[in-house]
Amino acid sequence: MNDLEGIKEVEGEVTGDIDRARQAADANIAKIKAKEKQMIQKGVEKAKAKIEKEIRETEMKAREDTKKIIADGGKQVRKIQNLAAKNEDDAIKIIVKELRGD
Amino acid sequence: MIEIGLKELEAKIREDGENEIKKINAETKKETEVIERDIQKKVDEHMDKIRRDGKLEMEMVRRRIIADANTKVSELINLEKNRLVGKAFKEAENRILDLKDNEKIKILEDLSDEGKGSVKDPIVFVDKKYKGLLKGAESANLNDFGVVVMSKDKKVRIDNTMGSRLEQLKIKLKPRVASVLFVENGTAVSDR
Repeated sequence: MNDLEGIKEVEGEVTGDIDRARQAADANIAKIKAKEKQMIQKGVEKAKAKIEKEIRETEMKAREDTKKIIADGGKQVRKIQNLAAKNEDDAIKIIVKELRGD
Repeated sequence: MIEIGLKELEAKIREDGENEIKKINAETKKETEVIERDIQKKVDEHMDKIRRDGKLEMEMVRRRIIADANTKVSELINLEKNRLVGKAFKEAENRILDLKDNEKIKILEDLSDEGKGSVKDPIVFVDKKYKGLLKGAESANLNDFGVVVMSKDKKVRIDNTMGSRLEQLKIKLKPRVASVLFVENGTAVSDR
């Protein structure tokens, strides 16, 4: 009887160990699953921060490029001013001729 | 014999228990690895989408800034061209006003004849400043060089003043004047 009780005791002990192992496994899985949202959010924030930095850099570079575009535009304005000064007399003659009805 | 059998049984129970725990742990490890892989896949998908959207936004930002600059420059050039064309018309007006009286008379006569041709019983008006330059014309406050021809019944009115003629000519001559003003070595300087 004592021997049998001893065996039952061991069985109970082992069953307890197995139950605890199962509980620990379930808890571990639940813990990992619970981290999903947090991990996604962390990844999203990391990616957003990186891309926002790149967008700011792109914007700065584009603004630098526009300085050249504006400078070229200024050159073009000066060029048409010079051309107009050179050709103005011919243009005026055309208008005067039309105004006079020649 | 029985004592040995019981001890063996106890050891067997413990061994089986340990094996079961090992099995649970191995399965848990396997399952957590699968879950972690799935989570990482989802994280990667989210991050990839952000990167793709970000790249598109970067391209849009760049294009918008460059397009704005190009538009600004085009507007600036067009404004300056319009100003220079307008200046040419103003200069032409000044040249007419600076003509000698005999030349002004010729112009007034031509403008008057042109107007009279389209009006029955015409009355010709000229600004009081130029009254002496056109015979038969009545004096009026036109504040402009040229003539206004009106039918006697006042139903028809033809405005042949310089201001009116210039406005008409601006529409007609603007492209030609621009092509002459902005020509370089026989080639017109085009817009951006």
